[in-house]
Amino acid sequence: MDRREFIKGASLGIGAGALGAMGLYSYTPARRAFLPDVQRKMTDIGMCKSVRVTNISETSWFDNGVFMKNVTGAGGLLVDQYTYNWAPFGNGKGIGKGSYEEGMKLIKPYIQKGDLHGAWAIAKENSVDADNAGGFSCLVEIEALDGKITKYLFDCGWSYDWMEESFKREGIDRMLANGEIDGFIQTHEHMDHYWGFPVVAKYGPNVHVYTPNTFYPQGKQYIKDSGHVGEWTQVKKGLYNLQPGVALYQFECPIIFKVYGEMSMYCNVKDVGLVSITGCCHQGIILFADTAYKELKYEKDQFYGLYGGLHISPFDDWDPKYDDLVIGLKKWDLKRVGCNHCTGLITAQKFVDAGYPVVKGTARFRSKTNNYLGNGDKISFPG
Amino acid sequence: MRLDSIFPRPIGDGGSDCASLLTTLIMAAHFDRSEARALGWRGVRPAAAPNPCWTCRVAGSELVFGMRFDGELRGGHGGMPVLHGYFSLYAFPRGDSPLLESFPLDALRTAMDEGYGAALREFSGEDAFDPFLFGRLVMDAACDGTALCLSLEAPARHRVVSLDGIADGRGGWIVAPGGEECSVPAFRLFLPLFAALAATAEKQLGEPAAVALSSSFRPRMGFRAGGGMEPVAELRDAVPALHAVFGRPLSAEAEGARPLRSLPARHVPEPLEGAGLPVLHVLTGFLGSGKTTFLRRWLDFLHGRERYTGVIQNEFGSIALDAAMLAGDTVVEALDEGCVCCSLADSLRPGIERIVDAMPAEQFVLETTGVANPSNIMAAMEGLRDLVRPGLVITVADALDLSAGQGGFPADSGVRREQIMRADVVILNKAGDVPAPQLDALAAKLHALNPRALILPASYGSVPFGELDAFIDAHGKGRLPSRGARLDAFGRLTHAEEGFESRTLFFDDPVSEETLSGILRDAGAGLSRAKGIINIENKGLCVVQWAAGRLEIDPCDAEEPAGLAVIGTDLRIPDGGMA
Repeated sequence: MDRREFIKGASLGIGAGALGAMGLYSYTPARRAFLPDVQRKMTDIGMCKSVRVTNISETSWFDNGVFMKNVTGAGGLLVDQYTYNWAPFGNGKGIGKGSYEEGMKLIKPYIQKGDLHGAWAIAKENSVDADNAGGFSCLVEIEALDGKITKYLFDCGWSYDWMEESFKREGIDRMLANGEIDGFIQTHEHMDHYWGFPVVAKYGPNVHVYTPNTFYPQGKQYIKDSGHVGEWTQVKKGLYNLQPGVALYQFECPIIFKVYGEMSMYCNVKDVGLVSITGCCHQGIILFADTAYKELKYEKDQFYGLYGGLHISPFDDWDPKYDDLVIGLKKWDLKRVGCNHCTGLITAQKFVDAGYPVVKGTARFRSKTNNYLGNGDKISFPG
Repeated sequence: MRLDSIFPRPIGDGGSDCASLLTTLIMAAHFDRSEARALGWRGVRPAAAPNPCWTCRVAGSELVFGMRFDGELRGGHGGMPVLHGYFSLYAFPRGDSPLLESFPLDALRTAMDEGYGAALREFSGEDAFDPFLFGRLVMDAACDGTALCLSLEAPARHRVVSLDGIADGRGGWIVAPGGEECSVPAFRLFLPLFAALAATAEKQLGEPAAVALSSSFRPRMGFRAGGGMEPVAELRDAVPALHAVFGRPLSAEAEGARPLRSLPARHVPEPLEGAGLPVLHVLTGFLGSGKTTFLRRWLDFLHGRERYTGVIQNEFGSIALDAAMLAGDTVVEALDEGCVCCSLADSLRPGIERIVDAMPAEQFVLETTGVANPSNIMAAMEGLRDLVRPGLVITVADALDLSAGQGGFPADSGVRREQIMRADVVILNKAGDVPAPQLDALAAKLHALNPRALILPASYGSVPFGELDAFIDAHGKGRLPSRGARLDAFGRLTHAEEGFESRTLFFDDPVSEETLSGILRDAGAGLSRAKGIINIENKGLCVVQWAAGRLEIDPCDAEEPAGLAVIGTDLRIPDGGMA
């Protein structure tokens, strides 16, 4: 009798327990005994009542072709973003030859005066394709169980001009100036999410800033050079509770253009389920969802909603049958999706085709499709 | 060596910094996918905290590997603080792999369970997978970021003795008392994984590893029928450890290890795999089959992975791509009017040169007109080897159209048939609109036409696109249907051959290679060439070619024999069967 027949017979005929009677012992390898045991945790972050997101801008840049030309011209996706000679850190030396220090030296006098239009004009003269820059930013409003509203500004875009215009359109400048914004969350260091920071500092120099603790030195310096004087929390990897029902999660991962680490936001909405808000989700949306599932307690065990850019996994799957975002997301049975930014127009269309609950936008203010929750559009959870 | 260039925060206070470092190495290597492949990676799937896990495949192994971060300890070496991270290593064969016969019976039992594949996909280091755990990866990282050391530790043979034996229930033994219940060549199995990891660290850290081998011994363990493990007297197993050192060794074992000249089992990319030439895929399909929809989906898949892809379309007027959807996402190079397959040499080369110049992409897709014959395109691609590597020939077929009525199936047109027969991949689009039994029948028909092609049912052009990559990995380098042996111009003799006589032999039954050799030998010194498609004993239909005394027989995917044409002067061909 061969081993396969033996197993088959033992498990089908007389039950797995019989294997023991025949002399098989389920031994386990001696290992890990000297290491502290890590407990699987299901953290209770509390609950909130509802979440509302206003898309301030999701258009990071306006022409992909121009952007791609910049990327290839400077040497590809692995090049340090501060050396591309993108605005505002242009030094006039041409593509791929920029530096934070030289660029900042040219614009700092204008930033200090609060003349961001002037700063961007100088940057434009010294950098490549500054008019192509837009930015990613949104406003997250959390309604607590007692009805109190807390506002978080989530990323701050790229172009000073575009972001000032966009902030004004949604009244963010006023909210910052009035101290209505309780926290500014910088998800990661990418130019299209972060380089508009002087616009935040101009209107709300005291706002509480949260960033991953993995910014490179230039990124850390930019906070100071932009004139921010308030509190600055550098979030370590893992969960960071902001308020009942709302937490940040910092994923330590390398990202293209020499950036490291990205934070996303998880909200546990009472009677509804988990709602998550992402910048780009460079860690990959599947890992992101998996993390929530394994680390958090949330209502009804339901992953309810998603807003933001949905990057797919940075890896190919070793089982190619599953190498597809639509297939991968199916198991979560999401109820409400607002996608945009780096999701990809065609992926968004694919979600719609596959019957996903995609909340449509209005394709205004230079957003390209109504499959995206576009600039100026809002989404609420629960819907 | 500076770790802070890839990991911009201090090391040693995170509790799982070694897991973050491993993530960093593997993920950064995947920004450039072709580079990741050249390093040996063939797919990675991370699983979430608190004990981060990964499953992956690497070149040179059929296994799926599991890695589980077990924890880390702060220690020191040479007076400097060092973080020691420990990862369990698992080896998972396919459920039907013969390798499982040498694995623990518990592993075999798990692998024979029908839920094995699904459970493996969700692997997060649970105890149920312990029977597949045979080794350990140790990561030592200097807290000041100036050194890193990776070590693979696994027994040369993982053996466990069944002291009381395992009865087969019929009076015999599955394992006789004192026999080995398992004997797994663990160290060897993990080498390709370790090689990929070490090569990745070399790439990310920008310096070669100092590779060294050390060894220790551990007592061989046995188990009793009633449970409990105990060492088997005087038996020991060797546990080799392979170290890849960057900066300086960070453990006594690595310090005392014997230096090796190179990294064992390192993946050596195919010459072309590393040459940086872009791949050119050819997309064919009947008019209205959904070729452009498929292309849009595929481009989205590729661009979502930063695999920028250019499109060459061979007829501007036929571009059905929605400009708003596609422009800006890629570069579309339109070739001049006329069918690419007819005037290929003239139009394709400058077209490819233009697009390569405009867009330094990893790959390009040549979208052909509905009437292009892929055979001609593949032949022309041979002349473009300096510019591009030939990729897949993908044919989009309309399931609805093909299954509707009698006339739909491509018996009507040679080109439509060719498109299916020369395809590496057939996308059976609109599959959702055809009842399942009809779809199965259609797929079977296509399979009969082109047995080696991957047939993927699709709706709205969506398929699991990763399967295309897997297919080219598994069948590339000449074994793709589009590269199969075939006689393109059988029977059409050129003027150069005028003056020679030509005969064709037909065979009713399969011919043995010996018989065939004999016929050609007996044909005499005047025999110049022979070629044909005939049924060879034990091989099926084969392309047979004879020239300059050399006989070549290659199985092919032709549908019927076409006889053997024999060319030469004063041929001595046996009577009968001559045409």
